[in-house]
Amino acid sequence: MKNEIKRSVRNNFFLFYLGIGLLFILLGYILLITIDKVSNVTFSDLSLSVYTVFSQFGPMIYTALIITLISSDYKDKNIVFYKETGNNSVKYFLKKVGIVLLISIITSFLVSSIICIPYNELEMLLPYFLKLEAVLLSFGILNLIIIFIFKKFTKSFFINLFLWIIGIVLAGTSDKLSFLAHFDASMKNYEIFEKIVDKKILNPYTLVLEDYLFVFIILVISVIISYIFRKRWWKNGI
Amino acid sequence: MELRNYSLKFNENILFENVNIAFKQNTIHHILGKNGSGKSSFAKSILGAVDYKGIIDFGNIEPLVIGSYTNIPLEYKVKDILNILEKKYDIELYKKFKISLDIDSIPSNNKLENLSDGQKQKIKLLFFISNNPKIIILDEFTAALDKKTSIEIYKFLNDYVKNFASTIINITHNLSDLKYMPGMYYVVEGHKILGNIDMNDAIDFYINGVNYEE
Repeated sequence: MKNEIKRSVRNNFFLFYLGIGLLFILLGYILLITIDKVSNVTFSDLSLSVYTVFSQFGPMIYTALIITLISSDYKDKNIVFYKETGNNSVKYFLKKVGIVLLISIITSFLVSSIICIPYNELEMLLPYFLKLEAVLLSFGILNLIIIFIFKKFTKSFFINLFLWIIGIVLAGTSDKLSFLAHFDASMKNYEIFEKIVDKKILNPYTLVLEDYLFVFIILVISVIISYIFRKRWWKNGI
Repeated sequence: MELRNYSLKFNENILFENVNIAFKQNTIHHILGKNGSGKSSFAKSILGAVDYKGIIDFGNIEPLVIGSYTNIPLEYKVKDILNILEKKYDIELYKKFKISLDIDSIPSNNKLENLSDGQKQKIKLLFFISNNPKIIILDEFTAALDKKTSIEIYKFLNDYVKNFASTIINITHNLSDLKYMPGMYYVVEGHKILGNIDMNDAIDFYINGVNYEE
């Protein structure tokens, strides 16, 4: 894992990931002022606007970056190296998830701090961090498993995009399908989060269990897929 | 290592059909063939990345393939690779290989992406061979190397095959390989791997396209 972290620092993956997170804060702020015409930006305005940017733009912009974690190994034919260093398809996949976990924790923490500390909303720091982290992890894992299977950058990018849009459309047709766009701003999950930020729901950790159960299920399914597709992983990388 | 009734297809193209051949231990086996004759697909089939019919008998030995599709991530520095090897393999053997390949002449703080082709190939060879493999398939390994580096690698491989009871199959277009690494010579023709060929005949086949029949 130490070597994997070194790689991600040296190829600027961490830097780009963090940079996108910081740009999303700026975008969240600018959208409030230009589109929503808010003159006095409150904590509630900014935190919800930035969250919406993360959950709406994240699946588009972060996807392009995250899939390079695996597509570059396939393209550069590094999979035999991973096998020789004691990795199998599952271990390899989990290492990549580990990289996304690490940088998303740093990014979520920084973004939460930049939003919460100036407004002195310290009690919202941890809940906001956990919410952002759940969003980043959920589509990060999905991005990784799709490139794991489909090999090609462009193909995987558009499959991710297609699934994201179809997820929103289907989730809009029935409450039972809301898990297909769990963190989207059109879903009930967002309504509850809005109330938490506005302090209409007093327990700021109301959604944590539900959100992380969702992330955990995605992770378990993805790990199973990375095991089932172990031969494909091998062929993709040779 | 032995191929028994080995057949390989790529899409609908037959590359090999019912090949039966045994590769002797302690020998470098050079395989020459035209582009598209299936040499690299053969190497990939040994890795299990291409499906084939028949049997490739490795005798319970894990084969190692070193080619353009078995690389080390270029973000690593030379010292990262050396650290991995020191922790993972027999330190004495690794040190011996390191000296033989003159790895100390490569700046250890350099990323692999900043090394010359020859230096990259030496690091790659050190990385994969430190596991002391007994069956090695080299796929165009000496292509694009300068003479000095090629000769260092030839010497290393000649010593390795002699001292470590191993079998090396060298798929190549580089005729210097044949001259500097004496062994057995094969040509790929008519969906077969034809062996027992004199070195000069193998070179004739490659340069002049002389046809061989079993």
